[in-house]
Amino acid sequence: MRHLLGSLALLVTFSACEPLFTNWDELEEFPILVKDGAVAPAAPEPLRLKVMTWNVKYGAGRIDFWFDLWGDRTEMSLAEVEGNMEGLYRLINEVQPDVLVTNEIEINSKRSAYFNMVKGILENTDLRWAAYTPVWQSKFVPTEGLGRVDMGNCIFSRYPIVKNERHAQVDRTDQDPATRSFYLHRAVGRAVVEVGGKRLAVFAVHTEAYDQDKTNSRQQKHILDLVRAEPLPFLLGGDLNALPPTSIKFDDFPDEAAESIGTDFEQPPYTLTDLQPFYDELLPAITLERYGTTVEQQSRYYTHSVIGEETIGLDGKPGFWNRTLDYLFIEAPDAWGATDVLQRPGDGAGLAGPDGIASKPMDLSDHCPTVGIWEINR
Amino acid sequence: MTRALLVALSLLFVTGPAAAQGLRARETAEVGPKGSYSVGVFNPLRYALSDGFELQAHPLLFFVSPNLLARVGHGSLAGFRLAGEYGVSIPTPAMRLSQGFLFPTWDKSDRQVGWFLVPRAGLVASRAARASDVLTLRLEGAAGIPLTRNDATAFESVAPLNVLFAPVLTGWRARIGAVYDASLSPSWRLRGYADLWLHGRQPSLFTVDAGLGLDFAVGESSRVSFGAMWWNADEHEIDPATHEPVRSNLFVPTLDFIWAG
Repeated sequence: MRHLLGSLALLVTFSACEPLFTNWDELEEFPILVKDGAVAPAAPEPLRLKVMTWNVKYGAGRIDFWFDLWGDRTEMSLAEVEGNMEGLYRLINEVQPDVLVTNEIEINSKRSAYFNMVKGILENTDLRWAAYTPVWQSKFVPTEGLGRVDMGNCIFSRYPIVKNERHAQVDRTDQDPATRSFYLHRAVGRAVVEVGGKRLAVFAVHTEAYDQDKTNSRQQKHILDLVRAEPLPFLLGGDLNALPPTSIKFDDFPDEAAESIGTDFEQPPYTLTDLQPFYDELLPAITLERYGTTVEQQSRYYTHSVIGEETIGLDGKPGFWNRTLDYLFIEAPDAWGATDVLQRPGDGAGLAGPDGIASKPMDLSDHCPTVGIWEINR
Repeated sequence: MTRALLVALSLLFVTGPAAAQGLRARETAEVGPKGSYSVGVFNPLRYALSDGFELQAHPLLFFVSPNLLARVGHGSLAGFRLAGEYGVSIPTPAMRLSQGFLFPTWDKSDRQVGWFLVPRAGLVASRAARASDVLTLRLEGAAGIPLTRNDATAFESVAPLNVLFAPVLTGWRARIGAVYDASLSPSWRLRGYADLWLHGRQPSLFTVDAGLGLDFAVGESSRVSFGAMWWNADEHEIDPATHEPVRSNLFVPTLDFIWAG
């Protein structure tokens, strides 16, 4: 017992082997996971890929976790995670994307019962290659008993992934050093996908959500720098935690719990100009023209709601998608074919069969997928 | 400067400032004599109420995790001196104080860290080896008896933490250990030890530790103890390339000042 206490006391300052928390270099290469027996399908001619981005909320479906301030859950049972993952597989299989960008995917976290969601998606869908890059990797997060966390972005593909890079982004500066160490270290995942003889780049992005110091803006500028320097035809997908520049509704969202004010999880104000350069330089899956100029028009493309339909929001109504945070961008001369935001059953007609999806995305995550046909013309 | 330090250390090694009797082995089956005591920063307070009967408690933890252990001499068998250890602790206040950090706060539901009673019993057997070396074998067990509903789950993370809380978070913990405590000089002792910890699943059923430590006499009976310790456990670590599970290794230094008389 005395060894135990001595070890614990000294553990914080002197530990070896697996670190308590992980920091990364500016650029690191990561392994590529391949489904057993994976064979590359023939490249379509002309080159058209169905692509999708989805923040999968660590397989938690609509379970309200403590930091959302609507619930106080800190972990799930394996049965809960497996049940939620079944819903994710079902929707992915309905859409059958060639490339899938995921955010908040976990491979080894206590809160998600150590379920490896990357392997789960590889084993239960037609996606065969996976490029996982961690953004939060800690042996033990001493907050609310979170424990071990291994969460990141993952790019899945039906075609071979030949490179998987992690580009570190700036950390927040508005946290104390201890909190910052155990907190997320955002990064951009860059995978090179080989389709036929052609190489394509796919970027997975997920920028900061709770910063009060404009970290999110700095991370977006970094993303722009990366894509501006990209020599390959590229797709950029993910949760940018920012609104389209012409958004009519930009504050007082019905899912922002009043208790969050003043906490680490208070939603900082959105800066509408943040994403303007993305719209100026790149081609969004949902253009600003299509996004519209009224709340009614724009709400068709909202992708996020903290609360599900089972929870009554601050507006007295059941939760539903209330803002757009998730994006797909490409660059000319590439072009978009059909695109859609899969908010509810029936959406995605023509992209996920003639009648669209049967799944109900509101129940599967706090984000819904955005999907489109990437027409590669280079 | 370095040379001077080495000379000073060498002199300490040969003679030392300690009593002529020299340092005694610790963590053995020896209990008492009456009035003897020892306490460290991390080592427990131990006081012999009579020859063959000691009470032991961790003063640092006592007010947040009340704990008491009786050590009773049970004579000798086959050349081994035997002692029994019988204790109990209530870790719930410490667990509740660490809600928000080690445990969830659960302020929107009735989930809670439950009340537990943790009885513990052990058998320690020591025998002399060579002139003043001591081999000590240890067998002990502890169980977490829930007194109320508990929603806290096992850490499954850092081995020493896992083992410490195993009785309450996994139901039980057992330990099989051995210590060889060798005299290097009247002032210095070298200790090597190893333990096999068995416990409820988190995620495997066992943890191993081993270590080396040096004790250096300070004054008549006190000592400074320092060394290094290795832990090996399944802490849900995975190989980043294959995502397959691997056991974790952890190396930590150990340090304490033990005041005794």
